[in-house]
Amino acid sequence: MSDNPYEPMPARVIGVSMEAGGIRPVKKIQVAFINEEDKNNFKNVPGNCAILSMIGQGESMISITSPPTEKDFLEFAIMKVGVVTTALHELEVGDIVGVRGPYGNAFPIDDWKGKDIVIIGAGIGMAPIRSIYNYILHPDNRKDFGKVTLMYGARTPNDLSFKKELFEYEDQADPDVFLCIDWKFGPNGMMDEDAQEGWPRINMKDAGATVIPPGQTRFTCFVPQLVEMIKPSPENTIAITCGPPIAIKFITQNLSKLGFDDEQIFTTMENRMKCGIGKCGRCNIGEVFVCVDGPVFNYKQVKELLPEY
Amino acid sequence: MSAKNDQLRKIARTLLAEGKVKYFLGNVRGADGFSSKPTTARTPEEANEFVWDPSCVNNMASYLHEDKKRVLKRGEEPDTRPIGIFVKGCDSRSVALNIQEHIFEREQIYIVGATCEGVVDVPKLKKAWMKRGLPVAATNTLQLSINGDEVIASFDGKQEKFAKDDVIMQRCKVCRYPNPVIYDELIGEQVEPKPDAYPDLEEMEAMSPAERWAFWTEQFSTCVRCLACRNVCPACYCRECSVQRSNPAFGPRTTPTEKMAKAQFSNKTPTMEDNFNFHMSRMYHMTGRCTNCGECNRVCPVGIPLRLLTRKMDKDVRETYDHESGLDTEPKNLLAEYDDDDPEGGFL
Amino acid sequence: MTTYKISKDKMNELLTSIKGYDVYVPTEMGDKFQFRVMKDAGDAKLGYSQSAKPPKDVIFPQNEVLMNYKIQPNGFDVENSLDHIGKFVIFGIRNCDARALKYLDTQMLNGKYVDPYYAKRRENTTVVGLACNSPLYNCFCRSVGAGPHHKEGHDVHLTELDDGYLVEVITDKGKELLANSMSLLAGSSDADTSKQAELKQACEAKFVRKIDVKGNDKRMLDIFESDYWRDVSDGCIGCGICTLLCPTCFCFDIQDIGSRKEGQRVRVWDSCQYPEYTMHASSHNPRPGKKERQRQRFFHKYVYSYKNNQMLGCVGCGRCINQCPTQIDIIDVIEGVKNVKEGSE
Repeated sequence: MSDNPYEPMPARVIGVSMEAGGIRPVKKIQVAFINEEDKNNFKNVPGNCAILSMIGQGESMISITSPPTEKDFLEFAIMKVGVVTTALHELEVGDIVGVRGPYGNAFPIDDWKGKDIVIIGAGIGMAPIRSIYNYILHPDNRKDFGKVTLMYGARTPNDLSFKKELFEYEDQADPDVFLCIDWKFGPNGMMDEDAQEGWPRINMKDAGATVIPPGQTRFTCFVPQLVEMIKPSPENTIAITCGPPIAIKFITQNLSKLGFDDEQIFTTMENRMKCGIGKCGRCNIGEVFVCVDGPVFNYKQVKELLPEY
Repeated sequence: MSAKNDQLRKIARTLLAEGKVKYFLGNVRGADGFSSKPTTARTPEEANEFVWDPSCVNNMASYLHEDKKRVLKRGEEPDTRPIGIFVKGCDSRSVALNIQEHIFEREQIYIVGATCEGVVDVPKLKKAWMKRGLPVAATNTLQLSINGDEVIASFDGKQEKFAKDDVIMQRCKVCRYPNPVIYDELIGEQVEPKPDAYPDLEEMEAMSPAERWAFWTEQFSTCVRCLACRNVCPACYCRECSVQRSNPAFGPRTTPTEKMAKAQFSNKTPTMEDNFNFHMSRMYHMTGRCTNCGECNRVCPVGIPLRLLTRKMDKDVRETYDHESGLDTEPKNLLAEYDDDDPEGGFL
Repeated sequence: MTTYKISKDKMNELLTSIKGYDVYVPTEMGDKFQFRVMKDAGDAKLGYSQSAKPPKDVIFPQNEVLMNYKIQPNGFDVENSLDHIGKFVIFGIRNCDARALKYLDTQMLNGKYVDPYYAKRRENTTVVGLACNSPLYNCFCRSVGAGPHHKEGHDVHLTELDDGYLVEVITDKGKELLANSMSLLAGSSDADTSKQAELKQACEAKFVRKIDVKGNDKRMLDIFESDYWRDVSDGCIGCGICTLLCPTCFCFDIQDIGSRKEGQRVRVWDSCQYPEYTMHASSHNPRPGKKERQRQRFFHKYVYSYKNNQMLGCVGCGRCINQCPTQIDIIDVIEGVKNVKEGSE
């Protein structure tokens, strides 16, 4: 690894798979460092990000979705939204990309040992927190944690990232998985029908009163209502959430209503970033640079930030 | 306080109090005393701060575009009342251009026009002021007016006179439109226009192509690409500018493929090629549209004489096609019209 | 520190005697001054007031190629431009701009990561300061912890006297710079030093505008969401001149120029005044309007910088006031904070 933090390390794409379709498709890309030295020096923890370089197109800060337990490659889930991510979507196995990092702080996973874990994702927001459940569910670490609950929602079943593994988890006893997809919208607003067969609607006005049929894990609703319905217990529990800013806002509100303390709720605040090393200035929220001081904050810290995110 | 100020304040106050306009664009006194500052008055009280004197250099027409770019909040009803705006003769052409190009309809703008004898070049005036060793602290009470060939600065009951030619903007010395071309209300007496001539271009036109190249190369070498010339331009109203490379999304509905296909005329890097590229692209976009308000020249932080280019273009367009934009509200567009008298045999 | 004196007619000779450096001097361009590489000693206009652009771009160029690279079958070929950085002198920098370099140091050199390009250029640059004897109308360096005769960040400090320049060699770097020119320098007398003190006092008396920064950061945080910020930014056209000409602004963008096979990675200044600066790829923008963007500028300079580095992010050069096309005046804005009614709309 070079001393120059701006210099990307070469890595080869070893796996590409489509995770979600739709207008903003998500692709999962696995890359392996070409130099052995880079591979050994790159030590990521859940919550870290890395900057992917597409030569001639630019760089993007992307969350690392593979857990540290995966030593051979790094995995990224990339939503096609901008210039660089579109270029990243065109990658094929064998192509070369640049990687630099890991950047940012980490989820304090060691402090969570012995606790129940609730993971709540919305949209592409599942990507930064996937590494957590992958780490926790790893056979070596599973015994250190209590009950694990995953809640995840996206626009349509097709938009759900990591659905293959999530659907597998649905069939297993551990972890608990609950999925939701958005309501269908017609010309007169929300339509009064299930968005998809097998995904029943719930009462949005009073989601907490919904009686969950045994074995039902799929619903038509928004993630905050899903949380309201599942009612995870705040007792000795840590909740981690990520998603679009508006979703985070309502999810945390609902968690607070359920009795979660601000310090029990963790989120990642991903802003636009360029340098990744706290120099270029754009990712600040008040005096905090998200790329070095974040992206992981607990809700107490979030409340102390200036309201500009 | 001068009668002109009172007149402007009264008009703006009444319009706002009666709710005839949603807000009013005008100038207030700047902090350093010499200059005035563009502002938006939303209440009649705010309109009481307005000034109209030779320090009002700003062309308020460029602030009209913000109204178009504003995204309504969810559930917000659009305010269909007109925007009130204060314009000088030159600025009124910019407003007229926007109406000609259907950016605004005539009734969407309530124009308060003022006839103008010229506005001061604030840095020049400041320099002259300092040179005479006048007390800087007195500038808070400074009032400027023009009387014949003199700019009169009155403060603390004293008067200081400057030769008009020394302290007014270059653009005012050749101004052919000191009187607003369109307006709803007018302030001031008609002013005699300057003769139709281009004395300011003589120096550049006398240069050989090689000298011109060297001249512009040096000028553009200092460009910092702040794009102030573009931002301040009342004729630049694109939501998204083709010279600006931008990595992120362009709008909630732009698809990634569309973004990839966006034109990129120049990189963000202020190298010589990109600077030339930017300035020349801008000039060509202004052909037959520029109303010569000279704001691009004024705002340039490194002093690139951009008005030499716009004036030259204005001259050529007028000589070749007898076209001048922003004189009335009738749709008129040089690049979209063809006439049998045009020098070329066809337009393609 | 050793003090010398040089007569005015020998100054050009001194400039010419500096070898092995790119010497940046204030030169005249139209009716403005710009720091440019000296081609001829006669170009240097040491009697200048203030350069239009601060000379920070010697150390932090607006357009800096970070690396050239090519894709190879087994990785990249990276040619790092770090290896080609020469040696520079900024000759005649004003104290405000030199102090700004100190501020940039806190941003670029402190923290978890060091910016290698900045570090190398900073290391290779010798700063020759020139005391300011006549401030401009909008200068307010004395209000923000600096002063026209301060010597912070200088390797050599010059003061213009009636019959020559007082030359104070402050650091080893300065000594090295003047090693070849010692024959041009004469000893200084007590009269010269007392003249310098006199000039300093005279200059300080000339300042017109000032800010009282005490307690402002707390006050500003109180009214973070006030409409005050909308009102002060009403005239803003979002050009970013205030930031591009600011000697302490450091924000940048990294862009790739080239094809998919080979390219150049370029660092280029950016500005918090541009909407795309903070816009997420999803088109969500944490700072969507000019109100939020101007507010960020004032807060960064007067609140965040102080919290992070115990140093204001403003050196009082007044460029953003002088050059703002729409007369947004930072002194007015910061002073005006005191008059905003608590929680007012």
